[in-house]
Amino acid sequence: MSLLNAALAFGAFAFTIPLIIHLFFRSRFKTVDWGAMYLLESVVRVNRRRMQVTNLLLLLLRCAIPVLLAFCLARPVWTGLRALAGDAPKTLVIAIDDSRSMSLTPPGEPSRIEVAKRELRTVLADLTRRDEVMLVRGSRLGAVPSKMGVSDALAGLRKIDAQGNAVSIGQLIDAAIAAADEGSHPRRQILVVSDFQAGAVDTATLEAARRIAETNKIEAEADGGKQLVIDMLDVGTHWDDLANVSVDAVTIDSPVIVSERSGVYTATLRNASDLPANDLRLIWSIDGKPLEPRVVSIDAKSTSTNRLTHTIDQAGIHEVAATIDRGDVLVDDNTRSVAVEVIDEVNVLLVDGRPGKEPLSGQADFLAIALSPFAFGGDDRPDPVRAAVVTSRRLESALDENPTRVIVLCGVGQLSDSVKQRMATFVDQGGALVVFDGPSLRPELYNQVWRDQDAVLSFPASLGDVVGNPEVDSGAAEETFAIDQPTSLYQPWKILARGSDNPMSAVNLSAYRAFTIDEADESDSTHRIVLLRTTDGAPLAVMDTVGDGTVVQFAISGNAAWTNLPLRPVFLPLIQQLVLDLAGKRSDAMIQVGQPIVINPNDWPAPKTEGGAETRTRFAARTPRGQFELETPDAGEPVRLTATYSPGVYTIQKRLTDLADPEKSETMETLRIATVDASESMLVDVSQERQQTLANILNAQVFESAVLLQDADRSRSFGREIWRVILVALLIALVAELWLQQNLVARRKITGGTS
Amino acid sequence: MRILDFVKPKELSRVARLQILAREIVEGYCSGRHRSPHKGFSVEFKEHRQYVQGDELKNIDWKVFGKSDRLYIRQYEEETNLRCHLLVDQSGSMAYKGTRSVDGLTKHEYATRLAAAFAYFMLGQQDPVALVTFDNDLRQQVPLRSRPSHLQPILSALVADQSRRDTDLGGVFRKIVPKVGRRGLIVIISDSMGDAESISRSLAQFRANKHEIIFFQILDPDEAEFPFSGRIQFRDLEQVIDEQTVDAASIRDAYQDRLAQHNEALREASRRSRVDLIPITTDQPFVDVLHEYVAARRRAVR
Repeated sequence: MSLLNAALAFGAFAFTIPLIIHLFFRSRFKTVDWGAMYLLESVVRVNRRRMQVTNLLLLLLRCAIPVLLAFCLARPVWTGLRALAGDAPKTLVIAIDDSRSMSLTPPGEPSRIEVAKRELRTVLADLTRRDEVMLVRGSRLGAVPSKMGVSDALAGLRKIDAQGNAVSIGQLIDAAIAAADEGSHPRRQILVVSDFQAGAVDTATLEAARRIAETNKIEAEADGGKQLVIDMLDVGTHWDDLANVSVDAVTIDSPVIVSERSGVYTATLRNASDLPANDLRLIWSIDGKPLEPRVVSIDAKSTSTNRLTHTIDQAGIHEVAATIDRGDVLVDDNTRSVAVEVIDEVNVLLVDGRPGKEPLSGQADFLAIALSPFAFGGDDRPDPVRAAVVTSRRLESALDENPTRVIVLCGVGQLSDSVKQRMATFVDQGGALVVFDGPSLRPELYNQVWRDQDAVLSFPASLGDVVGNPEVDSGAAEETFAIDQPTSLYQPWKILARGSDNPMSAVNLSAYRAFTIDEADESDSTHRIVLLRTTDGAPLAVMDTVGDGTVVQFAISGNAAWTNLPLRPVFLPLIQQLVLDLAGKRSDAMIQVGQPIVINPNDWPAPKTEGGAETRTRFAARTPRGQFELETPDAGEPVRLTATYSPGVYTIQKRLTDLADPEKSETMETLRIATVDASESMLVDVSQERQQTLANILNAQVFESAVLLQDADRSRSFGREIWRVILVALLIALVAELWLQQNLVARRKITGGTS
Repeated sequence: MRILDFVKPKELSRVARLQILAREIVEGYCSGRHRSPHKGFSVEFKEHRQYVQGDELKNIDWKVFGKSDRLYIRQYEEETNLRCHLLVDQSGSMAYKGTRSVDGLTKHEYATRLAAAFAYFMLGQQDPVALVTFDNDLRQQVPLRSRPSHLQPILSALVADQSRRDTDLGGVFRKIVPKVGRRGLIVIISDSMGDAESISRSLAQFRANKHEIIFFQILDPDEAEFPFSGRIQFRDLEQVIDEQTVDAASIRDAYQDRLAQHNEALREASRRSRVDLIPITTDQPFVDVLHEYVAARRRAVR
């Protein structure tokens, strides 16, 4: 206990005044010669004790009043609650959650992030010059926070905006603690500023909190001088009706987007409000150019999807965005984009192991038709796939002519070593190889490993004998096999199954190659998928990744020799989907906000013109926050851009300049799109219970405003001012004195008796 | 010492006037007006009765004997006087003096004047009056006489030294009972500060002796209302040692309850013994008290 105005405490000696008055009046009394003592005596005897108590109580109250008043004015501070050393300098680590949900702006009020900044300014205003501040932002947990003074912290605070990705409070606190460890002062305070979304306080956060609390305890025991306090500032509005409409996802439905061919895109729209959102304007845009607006309506508390079928003419990576034109509490989530890698037509090379002279008698004929049905039918419309049928001898020259994404070997039984080496390199660098069986295939070819210098191509299945009767026309007893449903693991073939019927029900097999798949092989089994099986469970098609590419092996022939599959309607989509899937590279143009952008040298499109002997390479980035030059990496190293803190399109440019001829330069571009997780649009505050649990684990306190925090902080540092409590006690004493006076010792004028 | 020392001329005249009023209202206030139920020899003839052996010969009506040759005895209505005993409390408690009493009198002074007025009144009617003053024992006793000059010793006894002794009404009354004979009027003037039970028993004894009793309970207005407040030391007028310093206001209610309880006990005792209990306070004029007395007498005669 200490006093702020200690001098005023001497006023407590005023308690002597009522005491003196009491003693004075005790010696001053009237004397009455009383006759009726017979009556009075018993009354006095009975009431004496009560009167003594009452008088004593009254005296105590009257003495207490000046004492209380003096203490009240002296502003006592209760230091029993003090947990920290008074005014020692401290390290304040502000861990601010700058995820998108913090930009929520209730109508007529500032946004959450602005509220947070305002509160933080109040907190910072209370710091002294000796204190240091570290700013940890949820969107850049990897960054090393620097120690700064209050004014720098205020400047840093001004730059904060809420565009980051969802961050869990656990990670935030982890980062803050790591930062606090760097603090120069033994007294450390971590202030977590967040709106405490339900998603941010997940089970992992509680687990992390437990771990942190445990570590803290151990550290506190090991090093008593260190004092770490965790506080939480909740700037969530706890607002019931969140009239928010968001675009939760934009997805590409087509397995591959080919230039000049229509692609299908789907936007998932969600209305979180209790009221239906009618007549919303939905604007699709391609590379920032808006299309015709659409009018959509979303029921209350529901989602709807909107599908766009659009043709992009230029190959390359493009941005497809869906925007809802409506002002709501969270504007940032009204738009979402997806990066679409548009490719020119897919070149597929079909290698026929035994070409036939008659139509449809070759090994690859059915496949060629299935891949380019329009070209086969003489239709003008372009096929997404351009299939060329070659023999194995012409394979190498055909590869040189056209860049090829997929090579299909149909019943190829023999390949020269150079072709095998070429194939190994092709697959290793990302090409796709599909192998169909057939009468002319020799298993030994595929059971061996194909090698080039670095590339190794081993097939996922080792081939055995042919099961069943390969010679349909032999007239032997016909044994047929049925094919089971395609595996549900393979996404592109989902469209084959309409309803619950087996799309393969009309397909018969007379023969197939026995596959031996080492399914127990753990090393790369994660990527190995058996696509088709017979109803008996024998594998018919298997897919595996090799290097950067993919290998698919079929145990059946690509023509009608062993099966009637090519004659069935399911064949065409089956093959098309497979090939388009293999041709479409897994685009990694989509990143989460905050993730670094890494572009490997071979991710760049090939330069159109051949550079001179010496070229200079420069990299630049165009980001939502402006344009700047990037550091040129060493040769062979990827280009990195870590400052992806805002959602939007990041265009990375590579400029090649010929040193000999500066006029001759070429610029290549690639783009990446950073998005914020859709969970940030949920806007569900964490339950009080969970928040309290988190606070309890961390031994932290949750505050709604900076003023409350400062109060608590002050009581921790200096103790708590308790004059209010004393004032209440004083008022109670005054009222009690009055009541006692009026009810027990009522004064009336003496009208009788003489002394 | 003259009556005027105690009763002011104005009061005397009012007492005299009251006497006239009383005479008209109540027969027997004056000598010879008290109709006695006892038959005896007096001036007024009542009836004849046949002589029986043992009768006084002098009472034989010889005229009737001459006329009827029978012996008759003449019987007369006996004319009795109202034998009045004044019992005046002189204990310490009677010394209390409030500010509101008539002329600032103590209860004792008030009682003395009242007793003097009664004595004068009675003697004026040629009724015999006796006086007994007491505290915890009998103090002054003046025997029963009806001569007007008897007022002198009565007044002297009334003003005799007053002591600060305590009261023992019950005990004193029981001592008085054998001295006052039978069938008299007993007027008690006291503040009745004593055990109500004991008083009750004594009153019953009086009543058993066929006395007619009028009890004037004299209280000061202060005693009835207890208007004190602040710290007050109550000094007992009867016992020097007993002092009570209390906050008066805080015990007022309790005191008044106690007083009411005492009065109730007294009233109950009076009712049982058919005693006329007349509570008066010292701020009441004496005339009112005489009115009360007359009213009480009238009730008694009926």
